[in-house]
This record gives sequence, C-alpha cells and structure tokens, in this order.
Amino acid sequence: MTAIIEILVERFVAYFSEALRCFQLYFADSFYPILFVVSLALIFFHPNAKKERSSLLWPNLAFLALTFFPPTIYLLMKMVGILVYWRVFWMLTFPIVIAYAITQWVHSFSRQFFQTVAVLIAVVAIIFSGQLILSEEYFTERENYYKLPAEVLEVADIISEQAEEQGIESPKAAVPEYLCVYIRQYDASIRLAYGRNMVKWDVPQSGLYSQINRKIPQTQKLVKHFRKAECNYLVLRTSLSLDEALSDYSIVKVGETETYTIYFDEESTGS
Amino acid sequence: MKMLNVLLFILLVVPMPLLNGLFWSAKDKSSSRSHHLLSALFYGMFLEFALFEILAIPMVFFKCSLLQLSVTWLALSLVLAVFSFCKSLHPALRKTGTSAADETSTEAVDSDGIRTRKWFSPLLPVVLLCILLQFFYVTFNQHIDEDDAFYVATATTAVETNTLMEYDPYTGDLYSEPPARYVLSAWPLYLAVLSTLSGGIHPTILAHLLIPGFVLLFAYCIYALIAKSLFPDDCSKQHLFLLLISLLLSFSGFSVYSSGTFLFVRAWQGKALVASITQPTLFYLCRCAMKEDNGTIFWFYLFCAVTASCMFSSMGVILATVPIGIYTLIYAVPQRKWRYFYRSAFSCLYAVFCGIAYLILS
Repeated sequence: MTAIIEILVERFVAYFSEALRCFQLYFADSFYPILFVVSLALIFFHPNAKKERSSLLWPNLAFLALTFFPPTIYLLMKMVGILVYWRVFWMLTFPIVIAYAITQWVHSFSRQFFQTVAVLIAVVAIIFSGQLILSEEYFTERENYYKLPAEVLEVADIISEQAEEQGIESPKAAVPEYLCVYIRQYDASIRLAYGRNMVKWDVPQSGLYSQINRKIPQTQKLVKHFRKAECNYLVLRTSLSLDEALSDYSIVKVGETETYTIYFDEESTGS
Repeated sequence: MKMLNVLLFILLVVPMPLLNGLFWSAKDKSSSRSHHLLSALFYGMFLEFALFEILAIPMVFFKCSLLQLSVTWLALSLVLAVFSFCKSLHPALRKTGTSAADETSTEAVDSDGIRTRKWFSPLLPVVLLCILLQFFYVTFNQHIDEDDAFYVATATTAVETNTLMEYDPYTGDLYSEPPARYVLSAWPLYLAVLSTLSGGIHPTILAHLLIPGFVLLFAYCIYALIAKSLFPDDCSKQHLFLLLISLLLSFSGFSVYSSGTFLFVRAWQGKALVASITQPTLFYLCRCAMKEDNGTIFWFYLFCAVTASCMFSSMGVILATVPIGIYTLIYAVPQRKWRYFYRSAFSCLYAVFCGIAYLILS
C-alpha cells in the first residue's frame, strides 16, 4: 500500500512538473501571468467588474485547475499529446480577462484626465510585459507571392521544365532536407523520394536521405539508393562538386541555382 | 494571380458568409443594429465552416473529387445565402436593437451634457489604425514554417490531383491508408476549395498571402462582438477593450507557443485558428447561450463552432469540448439550469463523433 502511494505521489509530482514546465514555455519570461493574476483579482474585488466573475474569473480558474491537477493532466496529455501539452493553455482567455479588467479600472476614474493617464499606464505595462510579434524575429521581407524561399522556386522550375522537355509526366526527385519541406508547396506535380516525415520516422528511403544530406556523400552508395528509389532528378549542394563522378553513372547536370545543382538520370524510366 | 481571382476570393469570404449570416443575426436578440453586419459575418462564417466539414469528411471517405466537393459546398452555401437573405427581409426579423435609445437615436448625451455619436469614440480611429497596420504587416511580410510541408502541401496536392487526401503531401505517393489524425480535419481541403473557386489562385499564395489578413480581421470581428457583449451600452469602453486586445495580442511574441503568436505568425494553419478564433468564439457563444440566456438558437451556433473547431484541427476536438464543459458547469449549476447539460452535449455531438472515429481509424 505504501509503495502504491509512493508511486502515485511520484507520478503526481512528475505530471505537475511537466505542466509547470509547459506553462513556463507558454509564457516564457513575460509578465503576462502577473497581469493575468492581477486582472483576475480585480474582477473578483472591483464593484463594476464583479458581474463578470461567472464568465471571466471562475472559468479561467477552472482551466488552471484542470491543467495543473495531475489526474486531469494525465487525461489531457493522453488526448492532446505529451509533446504539445502547452496547447491546453490556449483555453485561458487571458487577453479578454486583462483587457476587461483594465477597461473597468480605467473607467472607474471619473475625470477624463485620470482616465487618459490610466490608459497610458496600461499601454506601457502591456508593452513592457510582452514582446512585439510584428518584428524581424518572426518576419522577414517577402521574397515572392508564395512566401517561400526563392531558391526553392528556381529548383522546382528547373525540374518542371526539364521534365516537360523529356516528356516525363510525373517527375520524381530526391532533394536535400531543406528543399523537401518546400518544393511540394510550390509544385505538387513533383513527387519526392522522401518528405519532412523522413526526419521523424524510419522510412524506406532512409539510406538515400542519409547520403544526400551527408557532408561528403559516397557516390556509389548515393547512386545505388537513388536508383532504388526510382527517381528521375537528383538535387545536391553545388559545393559537393560531383558533376564528373555522377556523369560516370549517366546522371548528368541539367541546371544550377546559387546553392544547388540539379541532375537528371538518363537511365530513369521517365514515368 | 489576377485581380479577378482576388475579387472572387473576397466574394467567397465576405459577402457570401455575410448573406448566410443575415438571418441568424436577425434572430440574435442581443445583436444590435450597429453590430448587425459583424454578427452576420460571424454566424455566416461558422455556418459555412460547419457545412464544409460535414460535407468534406464523407466525401473524403467516398473518394470524391475536389471539384465535386467545391461545387457541392458552393451550391449549398449559395442556396443558404439566398434563403438567409430573403428571410432576413421579413418584417418580424428587422433589427429592433437592445434598447429604444439604440434604435431611435444615433447620438447619446453623456454626463457632461455633451452629444456624442453612439458608435464613435476618440479611440476608434486608433483601434482601426492598429488593426490595419497589423493587417498590412502580416500580408506583406513572410514567416516560413516547416509544418506547411504537410498542411499547405495537402492543399496543393488536392488541387494538383483533384482528389481529397488520397495522396501523401510529403512525397506525392498514393496513401495506403489516410492518416487517422488528419483526415477528420478538413481545413487544408478548405484552402484547396477556395483556390479552386477563386479561379485558380495557387493554394500556397492563398494560404500565405491572403488568408493571414482575413483571419486577423475575422478575429477582431469576434473580439468586437465580445466587447459589445461585455459593455453593451458604452462604445468608449468597447473601443478601449479592443485597443487593449490589439496590444495584448501584438505583444504576445514572448513565446512561439502563445495564441497571439499563432494568430499573427501561422494564421493559415488550422491549429492557429483553434488557438485564436475558436477560444474567443466559445467564450462569446457560451456567454450568450448560458449567462445571458439569449435564446436556444445559440446552441445551434455552438454546434457550428465546435464542428468548425474540429475542421480546423484534430486538437479542436478537445480544445472545444473542454471549455464548453467548464462553462456549462459554471453557468448551469448556480442557476440550476440543468437543460444546459444536454444542450451542451448536443453542441459537442460532432466532436464526440470525431473522437470515436479517430479511435476506430487509429
């Protein structure tokens, strides 16, 4: 009995620690949790805000209780996934709570001057509590309408043009990991030997993936895996300088971009 | 991408849902004339999302084509839009406002005896400016996300092959069996349908360039309705609320996991919609359905919202039903309104179906 209790306590502590870690991931080093708690307290005590206890205060306290109570943590982790448990904090309506509390606080001042000062204090508090999303940390200048790396479009266009010239209806390509994330977002007519799932799972093309993304591929093994995958086109980093080595295997260069070289396998079936 | 294509896209996401929502907005007793169009857009969008999900999932399993799904959904949406528009013209459904003052006068007199417009406050231009700046920023700048290798590529694959989730978006190979976790959430197919119906806007352009701004504006539409609900007769409080919401969301960049970050940075992904659209929607609808008890029609809206949440992402199944359960407990128990329990169960029906279907498929 004692052992069972010890195990349960150990698990409870582990689940709670994981929930706390996810909470810290979610809010990072911002002061939003403090604003949130102060706002909840204001809703509880402020005479004008009390009427919204049932819609703002109690539900958020219930969400917090659910997300930090070990038995419900266990259930939520099973349903949502352990790796993305932080998504349960999306249920907290903290922007609405904070905005409502501050609005009621500002309008508790009767004079316009004090209301204006209160608004300014609130704005400064929010700005210094968080971090601006609309910045270079999250956004870059748009390169094209697709908002994809420009070089991906160049590689895909070369493959498509070559495939059209050679009468290949559904070209199949083996590309470095960086490109496999984006190519089919631009041109879904290009099939790939492997996709982003290669990063996570063991799939048949793991040998090809391994060779293409090595610092120095072994040409013979690369060609062997490439042909086993029945691909028409091979894309490699230009810095590898494998033009001559691959041409010995009838895999010829057909195009080039700033970083990548595109090769065509003359022995491929073209289907 | 031509201007005509963009115009078609705008027609699909603004006038059509607006018409669809006119009837429902007219039935909403709490909706005032000043917010009639906003609430019409709100109800219309969720009705269309729910309709899309209910149509798309069986069509995926029956291996229908993308074109069939597009035509069917468009036809039904247009029929509903015409019906809604005609019904909304009925005299009994003309907006009467929440108070006589709201209806008879567009001006109010404050405690200092100064006449002000009921819909205007000095903060309104500031709020609109903030929203517009955000809209242009997310539209004309880019954030590249690797998750799009699945979600956006599902849309491009659907358009390329004219099929519904039959091909692996990563490789273009035929699925041996559709992925259980994703096949019940039709959001990528919605992007593919919009691409088809807008005359061929590339799905990736639609997702990355057009959808983020639209989702952002739609989110603010929901927050405007929440503001109206929280401060029904005070537009200056409503506008201050919206300004603070705008700031709080803009400064949520402290973490890549926050709902604000998802709204701005990944708005075209279904899970971002669960984070930034579903949660405030559930707050608003549960408040209207249970706290204010504005009519049984809100339970139908909740059903649409939960179904839409399941359409956005598999995560939506849990993150829609749990909040509804919490709100139901909090509103029903103190007021002893036990009918809220079975009405909540009704509104979560589709989520329960998805949950069971997922267990069977996996």
